[in-house]
Amino acid sequence: MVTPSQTLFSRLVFAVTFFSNSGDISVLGEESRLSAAGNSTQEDVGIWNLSNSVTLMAGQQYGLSMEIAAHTDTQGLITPEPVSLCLFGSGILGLAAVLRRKQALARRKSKL
Amino acid sequence: MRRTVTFDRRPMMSFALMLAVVLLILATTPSASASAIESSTLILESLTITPASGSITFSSSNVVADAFVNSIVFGSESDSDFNSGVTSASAHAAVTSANAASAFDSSSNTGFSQSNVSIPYYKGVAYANAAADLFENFSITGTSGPVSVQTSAILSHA
Repeated sequence: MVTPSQTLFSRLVFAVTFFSNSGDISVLGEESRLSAAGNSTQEDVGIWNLSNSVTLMAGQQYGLSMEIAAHTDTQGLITPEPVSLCLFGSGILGLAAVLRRKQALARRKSKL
Repeated sequence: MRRTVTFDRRPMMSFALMLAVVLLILATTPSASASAIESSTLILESLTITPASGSITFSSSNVVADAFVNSIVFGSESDSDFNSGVTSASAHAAVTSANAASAFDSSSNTGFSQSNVSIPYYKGVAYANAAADLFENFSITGTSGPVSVQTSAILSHA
């Protein structure tokens, strides 16, 4: 009757970049995205072992930027339980009232 | 002519039976008591930068950590934190249904970012974001010409 569900999205980012006057050098980069909907669940657990070799010029000034980021976005989706129960209950009551009225009318006609 | 209204017992019994069934269904329906939970964690355990010759000299460093959370669960809530430092920084933000934290220490080259969301009864939306950034200037000294630089990092994620 009531199905709780969700949409979720998560994103993990790690990046190391060297930059100089001649441009940026992407040294290390890894990204993990997870998305799920309904009642499904996903899990992404592990180790990132990253390595890379780049050639730089001795004596030149370089910049380094590194980012570690974790992002989570979740939305719960549910028809509120009291509302759905009220809808169901009022529907049944309405149906019962219609049937009762029909039978009462039929009985009245037969007596006349 | 006298009009009489009578109720047959059979429709009443049908109605009572139907009502009993409805009540039975309602009583046995499990309540939606679970929560929508999502957690993301990224931990930098080591970061090494090694030149094939000479050494790396760092001239300046700046660490920035920020955290932001927003939720519409128990009303609308939001929180944010932002900090920066020369060698380390950390930030933490939290509301009822979400929290986020980040930190980095350039002396040990370790840090983490974590964002958690928990929506009770699956009702509402929540967003959490955490990030730690490092900015450094460096040069390779003690050698000349092109140098191969090996960069390695180990991270655990969940």
